[in-house]
Amino acid sequence: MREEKIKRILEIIPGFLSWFIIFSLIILFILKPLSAIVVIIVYLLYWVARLLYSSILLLMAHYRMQSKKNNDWLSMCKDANSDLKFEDIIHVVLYTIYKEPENLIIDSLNFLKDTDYPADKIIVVLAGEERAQGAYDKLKAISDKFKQHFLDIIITINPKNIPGEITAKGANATYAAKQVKVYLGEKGYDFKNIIISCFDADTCPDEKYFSCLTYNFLVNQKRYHTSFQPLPIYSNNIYTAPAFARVIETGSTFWQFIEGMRYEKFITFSSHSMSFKTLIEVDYWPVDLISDDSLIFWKCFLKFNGDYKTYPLDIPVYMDIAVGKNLLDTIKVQYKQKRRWAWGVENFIFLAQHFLKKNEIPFTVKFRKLYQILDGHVNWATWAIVISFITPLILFLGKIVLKNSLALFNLSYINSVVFHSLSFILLLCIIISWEFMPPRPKGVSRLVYVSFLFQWLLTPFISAVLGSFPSLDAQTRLMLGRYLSFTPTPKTR
Amino acid sequence: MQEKYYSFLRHFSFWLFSLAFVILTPVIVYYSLGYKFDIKSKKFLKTGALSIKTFPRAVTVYLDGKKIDELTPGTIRELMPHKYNLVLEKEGFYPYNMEIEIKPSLVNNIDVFLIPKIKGVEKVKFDFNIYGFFLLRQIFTEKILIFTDKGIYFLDTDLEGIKKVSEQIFEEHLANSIEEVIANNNKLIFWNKKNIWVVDISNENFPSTNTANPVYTAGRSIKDAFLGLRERYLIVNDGLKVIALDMDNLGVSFEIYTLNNLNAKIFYDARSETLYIKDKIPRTENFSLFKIEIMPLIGGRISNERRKD
Repeated sequence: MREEKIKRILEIIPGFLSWFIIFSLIILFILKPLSAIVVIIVYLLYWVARLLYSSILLLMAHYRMQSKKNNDWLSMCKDANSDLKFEDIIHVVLYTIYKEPENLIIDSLNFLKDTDYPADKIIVVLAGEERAQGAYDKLKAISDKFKQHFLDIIITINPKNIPGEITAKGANATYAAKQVKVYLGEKGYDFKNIIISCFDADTCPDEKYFSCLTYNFLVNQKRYHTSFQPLPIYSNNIYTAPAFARVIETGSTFWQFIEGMRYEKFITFSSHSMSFKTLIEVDYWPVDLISDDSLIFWKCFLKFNGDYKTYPLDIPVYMDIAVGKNLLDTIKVQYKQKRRWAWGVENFIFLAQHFLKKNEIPFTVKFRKLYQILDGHVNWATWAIVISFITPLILFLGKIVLKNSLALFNLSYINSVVFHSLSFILLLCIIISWEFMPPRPKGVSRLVYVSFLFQWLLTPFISAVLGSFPSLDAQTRLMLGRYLSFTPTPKTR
Repeated sequence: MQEKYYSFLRHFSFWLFSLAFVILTPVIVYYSLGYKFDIKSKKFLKTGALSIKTFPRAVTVYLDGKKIDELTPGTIRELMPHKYNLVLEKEGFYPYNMEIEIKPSLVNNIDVFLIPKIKGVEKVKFDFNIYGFFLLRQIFTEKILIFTDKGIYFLDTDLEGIKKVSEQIFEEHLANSIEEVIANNNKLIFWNKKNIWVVDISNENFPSTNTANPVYTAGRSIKDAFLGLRERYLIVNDGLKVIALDMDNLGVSFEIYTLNNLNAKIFYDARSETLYIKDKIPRTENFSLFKIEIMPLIGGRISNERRKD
């Protein structure tokens, strides 16, 4: 009963803080307009500093990636100075599949087949769900096409309505991983040598991904206390996706790019890889929570008393931009996907609850981690709203209330500095994103590049509507106890 | 580059931006509120700003005769609060000259449209909002009297010299309604259909009030007014009666004649101090002409008062 109460209080905290920031600024403006302007000036200056710092990280991340672009990872694996042998390393690539079309999975497997890593060291797991009718037959047909290319292909079908499980990707992945454990055990593999990669159905690894991953796994002294995170680049359908969807997903890529530079804060996101031994030790991905990709990191973090990290790999995986049947449907799909990502705020509750029972982790570490999650989510939910809506509103109303106030005059100037900082980052993004662009498919006009350039003008609208609002929605639902159910993102090509 | 260098660079950037934020934020907030540190007095002083927009752009700005580096549009900050003379100049346009006031923590927004120079057309150099003007001819001089948003001014007819004569501001509708102006003995006397005002222009130190109160309000409608009786009295036809207003003792007046008809007209001959009145004869439909020699009527009063003086 006490635990339930604590959980409810924890669920209220993020949403309360976000709404408090939004409303306190409005109420302060009504009561003391000049004080509200000073607060907004401080808030904007904070974001100028933060955005400029982020742009430095972006440049560093880009430089690091470029400097390792031409590495011959496979040769490096063979020469790696490690207690493990390269030849013994086996990869399990687990694709979580729901209703994704066959051609999409085939494309992903083609990419996997064409990597520079020896395919006979890769076991593919096609993890389907009983909820999707005809799942086994579909996966069997795919398996038959690719069986000869890999060490093996395992098909698992996660039964529906397992007690204690929610219908989410994590539950499916866990079910499949448990089957793989039995399979590998029967074949006599040492789990220490197994690297598991949990991929979405549309994940297409770069040709050097597995060799890069293997090298970093081999040379990492704390490989069993480390997850390996590729840079997700949403570009598989970039030439056909609407402009606003491209901007959002490119933004997500860059966010991961920047986060990858902050090692001690970096956590797993979407498709990721880790030691199979560790996965078993932490009892797999959570089956009763939505944000399994980040929660697996926190499970490991708790298991190893804070001695767990995520290592950013410099080789990307390519994924699909979430699109719908038409423009409106795409907006809905994007909104729901971002809300599901923002539901990652449940990590705060999960972690805080476990921290209460975990005395082995120092208080400062606990506090820093909880602050890190809260800071990330509360800022996500508020910054674009404050900058795109509240500041212009205060500037507009301030002209009526405060007329010729110098502070108001300077606020509009500082506001323009924020937008110039944003433009600077956007310019960096435009330049860097050009390098991630896949070759233009036949039949697509060169004019598409013009829209690629002008798409960035949508950023202010997108950052608020499809940035902050879904996050605020997720936090509000959590605050009110209206829990989100897992909505798989439709993948069509 | 090795990971430790990335880590160093990242930490360095983090602390650099954090430090910059912590140090610069209070400075910028104080600056935004208009505070400026004066090294001489070692005190924080509250300043104001001047924001200038012009059409056309790129106009040179002079503030109290000092050229400002920045062209328009622009903002001049850290101005100490007091009045300044602002001049805006651009080749091919009439210069714009006005007095502006800077107040602490406030921005004075100036939006100016410069008028292009046209051959043969002159423009006053002072850019007040002019509500009304009158040409005043005296024996040796000619002046233009202008009613503006900044007060009442005398302007030379070559549009060069300007002198403020009163702080009093007559709103545009009021200034436009003025029918005639007389300048007499350091006084400006002017009237519209309803009111008569007298403004003392002898005092260089303008009174603190800038609202002008009429010295006389007509019962019906002021039709004619003449300066007479040795330029001391204003003879007024207010539609109901003819009265004489003492210009030396404002508020003192006496009735000369009661009119019989609304369409009555008067004329005052200052040389002979004679008042002529066209008025209806009572109980008839006919108008006739009446003549009143004023001096005998009120001359005694003036003589008596002079004797007292």
